[in-house]
Amino acid sequence: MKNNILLIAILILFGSCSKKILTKTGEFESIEKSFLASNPQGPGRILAQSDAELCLSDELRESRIVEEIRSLENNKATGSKLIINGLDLSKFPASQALYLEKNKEWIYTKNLDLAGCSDIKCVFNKIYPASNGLEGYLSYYFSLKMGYALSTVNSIPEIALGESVTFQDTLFSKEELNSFYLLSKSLSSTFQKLPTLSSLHRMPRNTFVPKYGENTCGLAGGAFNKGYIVLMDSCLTRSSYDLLGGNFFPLVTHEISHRLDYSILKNYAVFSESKTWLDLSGWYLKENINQETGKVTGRQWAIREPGSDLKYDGFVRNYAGTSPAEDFADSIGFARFTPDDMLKVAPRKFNWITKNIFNGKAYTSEGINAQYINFLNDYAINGLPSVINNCVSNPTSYAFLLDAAELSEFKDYDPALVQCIFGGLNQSIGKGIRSLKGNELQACNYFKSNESAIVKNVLSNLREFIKKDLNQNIEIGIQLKALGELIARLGDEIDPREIFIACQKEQVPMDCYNEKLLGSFNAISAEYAAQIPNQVNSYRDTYLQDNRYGEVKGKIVNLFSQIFVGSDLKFKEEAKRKWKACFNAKTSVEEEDVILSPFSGGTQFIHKSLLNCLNKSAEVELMNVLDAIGKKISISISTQSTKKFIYEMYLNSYTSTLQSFVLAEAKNEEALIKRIKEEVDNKIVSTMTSNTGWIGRNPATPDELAKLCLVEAKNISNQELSARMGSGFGLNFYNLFSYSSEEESCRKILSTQSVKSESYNNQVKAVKNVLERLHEIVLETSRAPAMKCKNQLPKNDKWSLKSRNTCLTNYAKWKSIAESSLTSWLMEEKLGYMSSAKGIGSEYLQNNKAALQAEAIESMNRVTPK
Amino acid sequence: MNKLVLILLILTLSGCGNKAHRTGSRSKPPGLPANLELGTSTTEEIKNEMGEPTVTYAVMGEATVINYKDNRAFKLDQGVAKGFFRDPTKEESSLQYWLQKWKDKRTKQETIQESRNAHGQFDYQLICEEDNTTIIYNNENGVVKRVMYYEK
Repeated sequence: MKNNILLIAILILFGSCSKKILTKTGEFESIEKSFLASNPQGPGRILAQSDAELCLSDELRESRIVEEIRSLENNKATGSKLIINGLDLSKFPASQALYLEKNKEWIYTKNLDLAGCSDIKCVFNKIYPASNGLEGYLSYYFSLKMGYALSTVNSIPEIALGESVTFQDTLFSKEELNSFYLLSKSLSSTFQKLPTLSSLHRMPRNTFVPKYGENTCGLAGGAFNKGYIVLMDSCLTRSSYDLLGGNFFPLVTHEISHRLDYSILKNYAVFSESKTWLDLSGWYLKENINQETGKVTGRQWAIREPGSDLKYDGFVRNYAGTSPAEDFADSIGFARFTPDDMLKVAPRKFNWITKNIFNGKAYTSEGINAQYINFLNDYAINGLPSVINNCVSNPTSYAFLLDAAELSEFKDYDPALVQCIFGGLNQSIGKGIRSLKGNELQACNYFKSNESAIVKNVLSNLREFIKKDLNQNIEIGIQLKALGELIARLGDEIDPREIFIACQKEQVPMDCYNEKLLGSFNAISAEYAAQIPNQVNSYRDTYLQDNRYGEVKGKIVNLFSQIFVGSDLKFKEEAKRKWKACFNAKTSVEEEDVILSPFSGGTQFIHKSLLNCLNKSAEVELMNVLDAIGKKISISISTQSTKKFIYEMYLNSYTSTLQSFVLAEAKNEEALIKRIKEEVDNKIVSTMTSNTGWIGRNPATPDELAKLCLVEAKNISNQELSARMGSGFGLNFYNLFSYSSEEESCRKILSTQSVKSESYNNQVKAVKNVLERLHEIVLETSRAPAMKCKNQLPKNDKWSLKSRNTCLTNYAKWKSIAESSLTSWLMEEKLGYMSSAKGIGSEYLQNNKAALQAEAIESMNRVTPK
Repeated sequence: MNKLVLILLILTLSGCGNKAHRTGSRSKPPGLPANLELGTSTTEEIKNEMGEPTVTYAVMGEATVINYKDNRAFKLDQGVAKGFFRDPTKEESSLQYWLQKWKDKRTKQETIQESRNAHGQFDYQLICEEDNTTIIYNNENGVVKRVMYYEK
């Protein structure tokens, strides 16, 4: 008994530890409610909700895009008071003013008469004089929806365009802007509000970037706070007969994906270089290091050979095989717009992208079919509670006639009620189809030939879905009410957005989210499992699909982007304030550990005290900024994790502003340090060349001399630097030790005449010290030829002795003995590098020729011949 | 007694004295398994410790590099570990961490010519010879991609 109690207790304890349900707080609903109250035009309004039959690819009407823009704006936000070239932003609606201020670098305003403008349409009519007004709305819409701007100025980051290029030369045409509109509708929420992409630019027509050649049609680059894309003519082509044909859709998506590559992981790490991506194609890096210098001498991507049990994906085109980054960008572009090709060669990459980038949507013919059927099923089921309510209270609410065979499936139930419910569902499906046609690029073409089959398919699914549990012999009205109640309760009691936020602190937020969402669904649906078991199972799939991780993230980002519009500008102001306070603060000597978050300093060395000042309490202060923005529109965020999510959405504005200050100040400091370095360098060179005592009396090989020079130069440099830096100069960005110039100074010192002559003297001394050995070598070298001479003339008579001596010392023989002795001596004594050695040796041999010959002759004659 | 001296002498000469060649003053590279050491560990020792590598390739100078699943890699020169490469830890993945760590040491920053991508961008390296360590980073955001230790 005791054991059982213990077991139960343990089970309860474990059960509570791995809690899979999250109680809804209603935070998001309350935020939305407050926001809708202040913005009655409100978010979430979609044109396709109207009854009009529209296709996304139809010619765009102003009324439609204006309505779409309204659903994305927040005109209760604090606008802007900025005046740019006569353009007074205080006259503009808040959202438009914030768009113009945020993108002022990319919106052409010079020499245009903008003083009378008070809306976007007016501004863009000046930029596009032949416009019907759509260009402005299209540009503005794209920026609101995607978060990055379409440039209208004649300057492109990091590319020199030349002075003759006007802003008109770099404008996207109306057709191109319309393509961007369609693209924004075709890409998942994953591509929206990328912190690593700020602007898209057009190269002048018929031009390309010489550095990359004619075959490059687009570029993606730039720092993380200022990511950009440059597009050339060939990236912007569209087919006149095929909706998705041409380069525009896959290749612009390719370039955007390069910037997405930095946005998937935390801290802008490159996703395509992560294990997850590399393993799909078998990518690995061939790397090498030079052990003497520490320099990396190789870093090239390669692909593993597949093994018998290891298969890798291929590449959608050869270019994708050049690096993981190109593979990633190409795979996404092609998976979206030529999915069948992609699926064929790279199924694992295709599936990964479908799941993680396209929020579970595949765009193959099969995928689109399943996508639309699921959408219509979900659309109808989500509307089911209100259909049931309407039909139960009034069975004539919707008119629809099931055919006799269909009706017979429900023969035990009230035919009027059954007809009414299917009438309601049929109406929902119709609405769903209109919504798809108005918002999905491929929907109109698809429905042209498939509509009646799809409606039939969806209705049949729904019939099955509803029918499944009828064998429980419960009155259909009660049963359907149970289903309606389940759907309504899920909405009331679970908010996937809250689950998403709660999971952000976990190691793998997506896994946490999926687990908690499923747990919450199961907890609520458990009460209905006995009554409608099959419907619960079917609806679970629908529910989980409707609330995929990426989809929910997109909804949250879009909601907060709209509510907190302009927060990026406020974060920039906060960065300016903080910078001013910290940069002018006195450096404290006593410092704790360096704080690297939220601002890591990027690639620039920053003094610890400055970095710590910038980072200390930054998070709290920025959260306060968000509180203040929310307060103005009566929205308060109570949950810390939600606040943190919003904070992280805008953090890039803060850190990138600090980064720009750092770079500007570092440049000033660099100029100053360059001047100081030059002065220190001059001091080192003049001191060490005017007094060469530091060389000492060492033999001074070049290596030893260079080492001596470095030691001495460092002594002088340290003294000189500390004298110059002692005058209150704030060394914030440079580590002088790394940038010291002793090596450079020594190169100059060692080439000056005074040092060269001192070194030469040392060498001469060193050479002279070993001349004795040359003497010995000459005698050793002469021994063999002497023996030869003596053997040729063995007699010891006067004539033979004279001839023997001449044999040894004749001009040619002695020259050969002397030269070979000299060479051996230089090698043996390792004197080859000394410029003086050979001369001194030769001179010695010349001066002592007579004595050396005499000694050699004497030695020869002393030996008895054979 | 003489035999004992002889045995000790043989042991010393035959490899027990290997430790004497190791660089005693430098600390062991973090991430390198406890039983392995740069400059002395052989291919066999590495394989005994870490198992079979996933990839092996030749590099300049008749050396080879062996790569493991967790992205740790060893450069082997004539069968002896001369380099150890690994991914940075979370703390190490910011360039600023290294700039602060090496602020009193001589360092060199250079592009890695071989790393140029299709968009003309290079990876960068920060070399600290005193620590026999080089890191590879992205010069746009200061994210460190690789930490490489080497033995001269």
